[in-house]
Amino acid sequence: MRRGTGDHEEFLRATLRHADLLHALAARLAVRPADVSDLVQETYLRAFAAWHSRRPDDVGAWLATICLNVGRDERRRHSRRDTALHDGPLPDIPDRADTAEAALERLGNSWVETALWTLPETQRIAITLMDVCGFTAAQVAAITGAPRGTVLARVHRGRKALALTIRGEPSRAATRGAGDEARR
Amino acid sequence: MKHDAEQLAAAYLTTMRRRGRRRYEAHLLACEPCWREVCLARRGRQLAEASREAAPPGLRDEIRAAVTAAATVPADRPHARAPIALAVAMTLAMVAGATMAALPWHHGPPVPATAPTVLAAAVASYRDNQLPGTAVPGELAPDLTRLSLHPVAAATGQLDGMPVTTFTYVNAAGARLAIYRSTRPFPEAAEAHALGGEDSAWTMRSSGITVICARGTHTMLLLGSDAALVKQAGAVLHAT
Repeated sequence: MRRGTGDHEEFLRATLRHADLLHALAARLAVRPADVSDLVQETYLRAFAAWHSRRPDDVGAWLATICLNVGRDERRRHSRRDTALHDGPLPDIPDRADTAEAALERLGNSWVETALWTLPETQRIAITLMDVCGFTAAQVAAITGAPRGTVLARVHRGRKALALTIRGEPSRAATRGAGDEARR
Repeated sequence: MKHDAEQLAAAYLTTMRRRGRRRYEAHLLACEPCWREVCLARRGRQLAEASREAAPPGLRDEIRAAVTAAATVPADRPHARAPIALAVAMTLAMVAGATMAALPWHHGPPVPATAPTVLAAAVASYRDNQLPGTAVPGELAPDLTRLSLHPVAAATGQLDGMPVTTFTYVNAAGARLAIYRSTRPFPEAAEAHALGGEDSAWTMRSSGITVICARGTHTMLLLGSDAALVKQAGAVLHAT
């Protein structure tokens, strides 16, 4: 069975205008900068595969949700591959220092980009979706599956941590426990 | 007054209604912790917003090519990567050709006038990342996978009236290389240096781009910004 030509043209008309948004999100999800385009392309292919059975009302939020899922899958795949290649004892779960180290490897990116990579993932994604992609708190809540209050807390703490990191001050906001968020 | 400065500042910058905002703004003037919360969060938001950037220029073409290719693959094999990759390469070649036809020839600074015009056109074509035509070539792109260079576009057309077939390649680092083949020999530039021997290859540099013209019949040009990569490609293709 082949999909109709009109089907894919309609899909592209509805989705291509969100390419900038998805690229911005993918750039903050991809394990390696070289993977960003692949992540965006995979997002579009998965979305297209689902397009014939679903026409979402909010196409941008729908694509962002798929992009987040693709990013998680990619990270799991990388994690499995890294584990398989590791001969010695299994490595610990990466801590914030590892994330910061990975961020330093992204030489050539701006200070802000580097600072974003030092944030906990939930904050980085929340800030990216709201401040970079332009989604509302309600949309981010729908995309991430987190309560709206939690989204607002993540965004606020992430913004504060970003400002403090750029100023060269240590931030407690970024590392506050998930329990604080769950209360909201 | 006992209050959660973080929660109030978060609400103020996102969802607080007009009346609440007015009351909170009056409170801000007298409350240092709240003032600091708002200033930091505002600064963080500005920084995050400033990091917005447009997607790379070729991304939409890549997406269009991938989706178009997927539309031609049977739906029960949505992840048949190999046929999709092949179709993507072909579609990109056509898209690049169409882009070439739609845009004016010269965009950047003028190429030095000493180079023969066909060479100047080749350098301008490479520099502007445009193909010299829209027709799909009848020949395959030379294999440069030994140098981790993969073909991304191909077209047949004309450079300053000279019939050429062009193949462009990129490697994982983003370095680009172009090959121009013609049925006629390319003219030698006045500033060209022979690479040695009879009917030898010659090389020149123009606008930061290295050009090598293949030895023998001189019907093939190699162009790239990375001089070492151009030389390596020349060696792989027995052009030097």
